[in-house]
Amino acid sequence: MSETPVKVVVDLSKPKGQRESIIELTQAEIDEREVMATEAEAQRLVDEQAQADAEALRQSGLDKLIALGLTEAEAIALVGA
Amino acid sequence: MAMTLIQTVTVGSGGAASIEFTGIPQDRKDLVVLYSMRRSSGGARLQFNDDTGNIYDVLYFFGSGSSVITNSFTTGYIGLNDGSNSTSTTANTFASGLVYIANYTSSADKTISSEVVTENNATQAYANLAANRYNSSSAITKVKWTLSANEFSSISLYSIS
Repeated sequence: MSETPVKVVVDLSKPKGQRESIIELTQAEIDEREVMATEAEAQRLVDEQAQADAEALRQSGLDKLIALGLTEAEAIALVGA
Repeated sequence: MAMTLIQTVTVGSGGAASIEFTGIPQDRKDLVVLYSMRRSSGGARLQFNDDTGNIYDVLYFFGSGSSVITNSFTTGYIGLNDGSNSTSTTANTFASGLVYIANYTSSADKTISSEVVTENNATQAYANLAANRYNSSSAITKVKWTLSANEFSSISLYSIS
């Protein structure tokens, strides 16, 4: 297989069996992919941090409710499993 | 209401950077995309008509099994990263996803719902549910699916009429 990444283009205006073409990416498209990868990684990190923050908040809330005298089951019933 | 398969594309080992459906017939009501996907790294995104400007509104819920977050923004694509399988998941497992594109020939803005869930033979798995809007008066004639790293399994495009 070629070193250059490829794309699959499906032209639905053509009859079946003649629709698919495999085309090498242009340099501009390759550059766009690199930008996309950087953006996606940044978004992944943001989402993972948000997940961790949400879980930490939940646990903190549970701990405080339990410290007030609720059982763990009662606290979970309030904040959700 | 009838759901009709327009085309299935299967990409084997070696993968493809993107899959583009062009010349989409304009005589149907809605479009549905069902896909099985795995990416080596980076992102997965969906764009229409080669539009890369900030005309896609995205609101998504992302669940990890222990918590759920939500986020919203306007951007140049519909992202399908979260929930997609990557190298951190079991080898040869693929995320399953669905995208529903309503009134794709309309001259009004189009609404798109999307969902994807991870397949993984381990604890870690994600689900991503999103409501999106494509702010364009143009009918959708092209759907482009891009991965920033080459891996894919299959994508099927259906029409609803």
